[in-house]
Amino acid sequence: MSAPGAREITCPICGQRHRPPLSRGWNFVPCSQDHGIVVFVDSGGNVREVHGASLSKASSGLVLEEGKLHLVPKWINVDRIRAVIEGKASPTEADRAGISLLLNLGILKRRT
Amino acid sequence: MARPALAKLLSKLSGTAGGARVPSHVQKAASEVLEICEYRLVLTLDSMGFFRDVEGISPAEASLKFADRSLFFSIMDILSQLGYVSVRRGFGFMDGRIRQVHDLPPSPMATTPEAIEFDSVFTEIVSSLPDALREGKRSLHVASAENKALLAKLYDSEVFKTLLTLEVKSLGISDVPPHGVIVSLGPGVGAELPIVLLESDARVISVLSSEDDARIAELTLSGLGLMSDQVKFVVGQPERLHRIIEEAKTGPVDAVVVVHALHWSNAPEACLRNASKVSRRVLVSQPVLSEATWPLSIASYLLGSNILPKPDQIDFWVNSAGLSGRTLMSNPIYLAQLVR
Repeated sequence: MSAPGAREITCPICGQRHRPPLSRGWNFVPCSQDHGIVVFVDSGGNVREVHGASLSKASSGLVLEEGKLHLVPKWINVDRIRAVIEGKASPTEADRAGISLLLNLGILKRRT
Repeated sequence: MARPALAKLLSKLSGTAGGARVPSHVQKAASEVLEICEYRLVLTLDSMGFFRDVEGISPAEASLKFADRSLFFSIMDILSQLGYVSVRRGFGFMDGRIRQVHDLPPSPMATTPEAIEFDSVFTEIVSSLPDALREGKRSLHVASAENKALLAKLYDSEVFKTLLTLEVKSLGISDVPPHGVIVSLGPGVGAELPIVLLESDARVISVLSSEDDARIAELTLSGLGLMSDQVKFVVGQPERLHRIIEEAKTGPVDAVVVVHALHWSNAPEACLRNASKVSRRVLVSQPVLSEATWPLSIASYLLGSNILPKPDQIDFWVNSAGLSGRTLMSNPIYLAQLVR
């Protein structure tokens, strides 16, 4: 369910501005090779949370819940997602969808 | 103990689906899945002292020991079918005495990756059974967004995905012309959508009951490369389908497809009646409680649905909704091409 209208999001890490297609729930927006943005849109279509997520092996901002990996849908390649969140691979459109889905299912979390 | 009912169902459906092939490893996994689920269910019941609690008393008395009686009677039904309990020496089922006639089965050896994968999902879901029975609390209810992963994974398993694919193929939605419109109702998170989209070039309107469900369905289609203008999501309750579709201003609808959706509705008859108002053609595929489908019934129930219906219940809903037509199968899947 895409939220109506594109909103400008400013990356909390580098300040770069984006106008990504945002949907309700958790969204992952790639920003650069070493970080992305995690955005939460509420049921009214309002942006409620914007977080920077570092993509590096040393300090990844996103973490897979190891105890829930058996719930990852088969179309998502966990190794590929791991590579993206550790900054070893650039996210494709399918990775963006996969990461957003895993955030919404609680299988991928923001490291706080 | 060999349990071929689900594998047989897949073979039978492959006939109604125009000879669609069921890979041999999926056939084998289907048999293993039933054995695994049986072991997990009986093990869970045994560990919670269920058999000890019901031994020697009538089903009516035994039901009083549990908060969720609907689940209790469903489990008794399944255990009787599988040969674990019998009810004897009464005037009727409710007055007889329950006897455990079979012990815990030996631990099954799953050999297919599909069955091994399913085992972990079913084990997790069935771990919530004791609380559901004793306290009436379904702790894995999909009202919580994180539990939706379990429902999505249930239908992501190769065996149930194959089952769903064969059912959708059997319904004949490929007859709907490319400029036509299909309204799709499925089990929660849009598990049927990728199959519907691959089977038809028509526009598809998916009706899902929450924003979270629609979001999961949308992201899944995006990840699979199937998200396009061909599909539109509408959030609302299927019991209000007519109003929802009117508000969505979609124009005439060629068919409503109702796949594994009726047991998720608290008013399935209203759901079908509304579907018949939306389109003259209503295609229904609904599993019924049987030897082949009981794991789906228990798992779905623990995730928040109702128990799978019996074929005569569906007949009643269909007739009450003013629908009639061709029933391709009535048990263990109620598969029908209906018209108003």
